[in-house]
Amino acid sequence: MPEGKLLPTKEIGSLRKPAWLLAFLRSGAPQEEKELARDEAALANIKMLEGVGLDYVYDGEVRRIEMYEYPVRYIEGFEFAGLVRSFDNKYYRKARVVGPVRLRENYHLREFEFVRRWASRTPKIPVTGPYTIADWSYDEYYRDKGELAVELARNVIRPLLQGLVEAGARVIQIDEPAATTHPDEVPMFVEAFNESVRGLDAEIHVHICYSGDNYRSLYPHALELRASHYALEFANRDTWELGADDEHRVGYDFLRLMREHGDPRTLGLGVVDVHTDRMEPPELVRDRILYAARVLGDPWKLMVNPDCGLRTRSRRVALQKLETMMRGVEMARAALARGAGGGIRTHEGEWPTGSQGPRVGPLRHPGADRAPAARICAFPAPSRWAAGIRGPGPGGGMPRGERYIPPGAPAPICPGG
Amino acid sequence: MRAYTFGIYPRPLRLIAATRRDPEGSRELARSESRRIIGLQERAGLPLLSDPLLEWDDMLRWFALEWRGVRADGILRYFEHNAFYRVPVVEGELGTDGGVLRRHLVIGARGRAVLEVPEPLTFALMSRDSHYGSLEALTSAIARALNEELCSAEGEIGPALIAVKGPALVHGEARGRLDLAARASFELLDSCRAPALLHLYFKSPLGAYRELSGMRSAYAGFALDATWDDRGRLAEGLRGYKMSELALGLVDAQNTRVEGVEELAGAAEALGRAAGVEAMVTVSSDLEFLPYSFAMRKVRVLGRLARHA
Repeated sequence: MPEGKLLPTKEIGSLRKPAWLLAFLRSGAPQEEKELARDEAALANIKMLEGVGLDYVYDGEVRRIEMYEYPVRYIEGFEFAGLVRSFDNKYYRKARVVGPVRLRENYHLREFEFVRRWASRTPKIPVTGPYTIADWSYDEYYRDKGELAVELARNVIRPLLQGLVEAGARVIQIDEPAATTHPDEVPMFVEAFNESVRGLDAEIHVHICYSGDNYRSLYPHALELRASHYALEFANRDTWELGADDEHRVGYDFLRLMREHGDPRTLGLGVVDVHTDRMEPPELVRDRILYAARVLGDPWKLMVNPDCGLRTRSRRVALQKLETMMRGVEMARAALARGAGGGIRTHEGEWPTGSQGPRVGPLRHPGADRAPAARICAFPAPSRWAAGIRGPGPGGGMPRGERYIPPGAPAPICPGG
Repeated sequence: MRAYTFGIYPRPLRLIAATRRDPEGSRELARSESRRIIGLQERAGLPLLSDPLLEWDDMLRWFALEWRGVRADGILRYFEHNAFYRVPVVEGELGTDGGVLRRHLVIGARGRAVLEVPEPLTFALMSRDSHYGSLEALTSAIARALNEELCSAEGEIGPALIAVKGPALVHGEARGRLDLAARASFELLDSCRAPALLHLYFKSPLGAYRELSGMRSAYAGFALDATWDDRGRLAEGLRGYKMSELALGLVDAQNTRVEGVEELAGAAEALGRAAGVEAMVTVSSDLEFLPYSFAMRKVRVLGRLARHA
């Protein structure tokens, strides 16, 4: 999490490729020029996302064809079979596994190095996870899907991630949209996921979306997941009515599960639906955030993002969705600062309606168990309520009014706390 | 051996491309491609012919779009697949002119056609209800509306078989509610003449089959996905089968590996013997989970299986 910032924001991954790029890639231009064109498009995406104000950025996956087909092209043991429908008239190319799987080439390295060079915010690289690749393939070689998923984790994803970490990746989002597709196989997903990140020194996020069971099957197995953050789709299943209560926020049941299981992970809250051009009012984004903050009992556990990658929307709509999201985030921050969240519970008890803002306890990021993070405590705070918790992030400076508490120091006692 | 496919077929590439360019304008192409695929089924040797449902974006779509009281909303995962459907949101009293099936099917092989409808509890569990207030009331309303569709289509098509697709019944959401499915079958099939088979697929069908076979229903038999369970276990489960019709989903519609006909024929015979009926053979599920060329290979396997006996 960007340190000391309430409701940090990010995108999830893909943006639609610009029309000029697609036209140029179809032209007979030399490969070198096409690569330059991809660089330009990547740069435009990075700067667009930064311009919107996101805290974590990437390049809109502009060099990738699609989240499954692109990696599979670089993995030995696969052969493409043909197109299979995802929904409506949307299709993806699905492959057969016909031999042992092995990483042929680190297919994200160059794009990551480019983003790292040009981004002034924190780069967060999305990588398709092993279970999803296994689940989306026809297996004609391995004994079963579990064996295929673990082999993909060991022989493909882990070496790929290792290469990215060596190149400077600090935040990695592993995309596992298939994680809850088969509720009985969630332990298989967790095993393969953990195999793929074993021994890596990076902040690991997991993105899951369009769960058929509202992510219920994640528990209790997900408690073993070596990830510190969930980025989940919710808005798609929610109502469009305003309100920060159970009646209106029907798409966000998972929050209660997180709380019931005492899950310490942070949560990337999907607040805009990426499968419709209809524009959420910022007030709706605000209410979704306030509801989540209330149910989780701690707004500092939240990041904010769209449900999923925005590539099914036009670039104009994608930009508007992100801008709407940012306006909603600002409104939520203001409401939280006013104490208008409505009785949000914190680690230290009820945050009374009408108070001046959330009192924040010493949130322990799961990743912090391995490498204790520096913490920030509000000082001098504008009120009795503190702001901020963690040490300065890669791209962020010290927020005003906060002082640095070095790693290993006792948990901060915030003024008034 | 009687054999048939059911469910949605993959769209041929030219139809995908045409639909991308012009969704409305491609409808006629979808219908002509559907007729061509029915011709391929016939040439493969399938005794019963099914509509490839190329116009259907998902199994509920046209009902959600054309019935009164319901609309198609955001996407949700389609059971345990990397595929999604648009959730029907029920906002008022359901009503139909009874013409949805007639408008969106091309099958017309009188006496050889398989007519397909979703099973009402499956439809209800896949929907979001803001009107009826109870799953029972919603299921019953859906069953009545589907019955209007069936009666109207049956008169026109004269099917040999009605395939009632109930994938939700083998999933957890239906647990403890299967009596609703059994009761709804009477409303669904009221006045229908063709025998109706309840299709249980996408997961092991044995649990739901055992529970449902102990209940009174209007079904003439079951069609069971036979790719999940060990064949011995499945045979054991089928002993004492009491119904007149049985279909076995032996051809795997979820994997590209092409089965040997001898092996499938042996399994069909053994399972039919265990059940004490001459079993029909079918695919394990919709073929749309395979690319078009592989789906057609599966149709040919099924055709060879049908001719094998």
